[in-house]
Amino acid sequence: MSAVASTPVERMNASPAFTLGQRLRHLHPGKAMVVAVVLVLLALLIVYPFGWVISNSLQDDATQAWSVANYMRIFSERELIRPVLNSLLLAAAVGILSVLLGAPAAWLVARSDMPARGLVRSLTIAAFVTPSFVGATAWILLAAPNSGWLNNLWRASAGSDTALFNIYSMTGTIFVSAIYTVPFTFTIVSSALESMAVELEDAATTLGSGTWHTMFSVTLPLALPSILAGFILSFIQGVTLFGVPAFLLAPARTQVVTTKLAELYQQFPPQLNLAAAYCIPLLLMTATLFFARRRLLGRKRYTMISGKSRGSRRVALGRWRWPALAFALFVPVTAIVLPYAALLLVSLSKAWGRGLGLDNLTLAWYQRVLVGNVETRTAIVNSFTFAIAGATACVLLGTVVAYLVERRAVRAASLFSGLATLPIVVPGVVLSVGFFAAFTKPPFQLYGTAWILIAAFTAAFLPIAFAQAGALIKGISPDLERVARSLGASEALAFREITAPLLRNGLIAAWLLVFIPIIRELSVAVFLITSSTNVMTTMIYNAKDGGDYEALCAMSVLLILSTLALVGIAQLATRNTARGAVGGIPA
Amino acid sequence: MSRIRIEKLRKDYGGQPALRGIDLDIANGALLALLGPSGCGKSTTLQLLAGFEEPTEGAIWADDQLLSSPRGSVPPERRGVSLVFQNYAVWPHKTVAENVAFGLKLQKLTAGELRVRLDEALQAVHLTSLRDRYPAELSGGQQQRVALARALAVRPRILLLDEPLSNLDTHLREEMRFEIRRVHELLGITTVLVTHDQADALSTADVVAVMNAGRIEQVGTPQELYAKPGNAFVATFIGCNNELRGTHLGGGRVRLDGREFQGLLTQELDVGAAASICIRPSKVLLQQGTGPDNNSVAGQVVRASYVGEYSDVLVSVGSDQTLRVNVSAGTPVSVGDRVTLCLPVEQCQVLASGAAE
Repeated sequence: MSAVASTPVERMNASPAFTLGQRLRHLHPGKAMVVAVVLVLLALLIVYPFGWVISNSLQDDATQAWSVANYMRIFSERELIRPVLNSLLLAAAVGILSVLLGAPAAWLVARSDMPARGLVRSLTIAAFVTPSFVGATAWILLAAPNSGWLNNLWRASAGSDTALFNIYSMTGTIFVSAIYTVPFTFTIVSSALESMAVELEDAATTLGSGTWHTMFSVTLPLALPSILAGFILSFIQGVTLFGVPAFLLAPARTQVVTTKLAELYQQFPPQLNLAAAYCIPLLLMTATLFFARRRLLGRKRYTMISGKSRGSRRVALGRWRWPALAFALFVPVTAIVLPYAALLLVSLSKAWGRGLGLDNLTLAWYQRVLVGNVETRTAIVNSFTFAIAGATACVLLGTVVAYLVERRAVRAASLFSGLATLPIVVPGVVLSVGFFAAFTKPPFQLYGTAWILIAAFTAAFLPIAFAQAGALIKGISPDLERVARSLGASEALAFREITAPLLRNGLIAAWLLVFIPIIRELSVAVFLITSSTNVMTTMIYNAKDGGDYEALCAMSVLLILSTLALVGIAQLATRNTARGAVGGIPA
Repeated sequence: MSRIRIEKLRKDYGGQPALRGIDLDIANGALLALLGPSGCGKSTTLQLLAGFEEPTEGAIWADDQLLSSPRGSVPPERRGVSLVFQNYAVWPHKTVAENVAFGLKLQKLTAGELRVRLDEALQAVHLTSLRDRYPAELSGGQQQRVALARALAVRPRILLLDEPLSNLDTHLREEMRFEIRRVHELLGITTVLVTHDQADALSTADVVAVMNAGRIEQVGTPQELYAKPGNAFVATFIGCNNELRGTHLGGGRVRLDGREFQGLLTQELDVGAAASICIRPSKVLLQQGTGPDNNSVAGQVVRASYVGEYSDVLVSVGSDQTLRVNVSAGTPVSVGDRVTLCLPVEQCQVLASGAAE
């Protein structure tokens, strides 16, 4: 307890009028213990790994002496500079494509009379929850230069010798990365367009502005911040993506920052300290972009002030309705229909090279992945165990931190919220580097255990849980608890009887919102797994070079199915919470 | 039931004083209203009484028990102080009966006693028929009664009401004023009511304490405050008095803008002190054109609004002074009219000016 009251932060904020003894008396022992545990956990999960990345980056790999040599190398060696440039190229292209494909599709779905809007929306959201490296696997099946089905189709129909697509290229990587990044722009822009008050457009129309003039002079400028935010998010995705370039660029012997980091780890001898230094430019990039986005969204808030929207009028497209649908279906077809079909067919084939046919059908791969093969069976069990443990830890920690912050129970609220939000700017690969550096040496030798993975997942997705819990707690007036106190309930009893039951439904939804990204996460786990702690995603990643595509596809299908099932449950749960809150919590 | 004594109570937030040292003695069984504009410190006082905040200086006593002091406070759950919040704070996941029974369950009663006390509390606020409803199925007034029943069921020593009427519409508000008064007379619990509405305070309380800028300006019965405001702030806050600021020349004569006015002096006031002439809008006499010189002032009508029984007229007199005048509805007045306002001596109170705003 005394350890808490005398942390530097507490001391800094203490008013000089109070002596240490007085403050100790005021600090409830139970609360002090909770604060202490939370601080220790935040320090271990966030500050400690981050500190190791910084400190490692300043040490030479060969001699372990302190130096800035690693940084000098990053900025001078061509083989270290090239991946950075490649990453920027990939990210810029992904950002632009994401806007060009996502923003018009969002407008078509939100504001036009295009047919099948609901279908386009659900399929685009489905692309959101599909792990992009699974998409990359599918696109290898579809467009590998020699064996890809689309190329075979092209050769057979056009009588050509050459391949139509080569997915093992920068272009292929940009394409696959982009189609799985479009949903970011799509959802941000469509929600902005939907929440925009029709009155704003009506005001222009009453002044004599035509439909299209209104769109370009009112609608588009109002949606611009959200379009920019979509671009920035897509750009961040492009920089931090690991799976897609690892699957598609490595065979072309081209590196981006994330795959180069993996190479530094996997080569012999590994250059761990150089890798740590190599994280810093990546981290700076994502942090800068994240804050740029935050400022944009901050500005967006006033453009979205809308009062009650009366349900927007839709723009009639006339004879452009069907061409518009064809355009809007581009992402659903390329990101969902074709890849899912390819994965499903291959996973059901005895050997996918033999083509389609009833005699080639089998469920053997699923049987093998689920039952027969110990490694895949372990990976599936691990995936669920780690995701359950990680999501639970995330939600527990996130809720306690959010409670302390929202209810101003601690003096240093901004420190707590800052720490809990920080991982949002840390790319998964960098987090993996940090956890490897921090927890593979004394006093925390966790390498090879489940703990290191659970801890890394908890750190990576703490911001989601913290933000969700914060929003929930904000919706519950502190007066509800105060009344219970005044009627004779202790602080703990008031929390248990009043706040906890009111939070419960929302927290179940938050738990699923963390569980889903954990179970499909690859890059956070990539340096931390061993053969006994493999998860489904790393299993797929490691199997990509083995050529065992049928089993790989079966595994991918299982991963997608379990994710989609959980998304469905999450949507039901959130909908119920939203409904419950309407009549429930007084303002 | 307790007598409450507040001594030199002071509360700072981050160096900013919210409460600048107040003293208050509330008799056992009294209903006291803390009345003042927002930010005057009345809610801070309530938070301190409930035990959710600790004073920077001073003390709160209930009978002979020290409840709060800078050295420590009795926690809210052991004070015997019940609270009713402006937003009701009725728990949405509990039924009416569960809400009201919550505090009773913490009081180690037998099942039989608990049932009797629960029924009593529900009956006292006429909620018996709604006992199994959830709050979302109740109107605002009904939720307010749940909050009241829940606070009273535990038989607190002290009952605190934080703006209990502010969220109610006009009709319900009047009904709840009587309800609070009726329940108070029934149970006789020492009650502190916080409000910014003078009608709420005057109609329900035995004693009203008017607060401003972290201080208590005046404590008195509603009649005393209305008839004999202690200073210009109380006079303007209660009864919507006009205030004309000037300098006291002695004997109730006040000089302002080079003119002199005569009023009634009801308190000691030094010659040369800042003094205000306070007069109610209904007592000012309005006359078209020029009028008598004595205790009158010329001005121009800047706003006139018809409110049914009378017209509310705003007259600009001098550089930045305005006076409100209520004239009978038939009187022809329009914006721009040059008028003379007579301030009858017997209606003018001469009071110490409040702190300049």
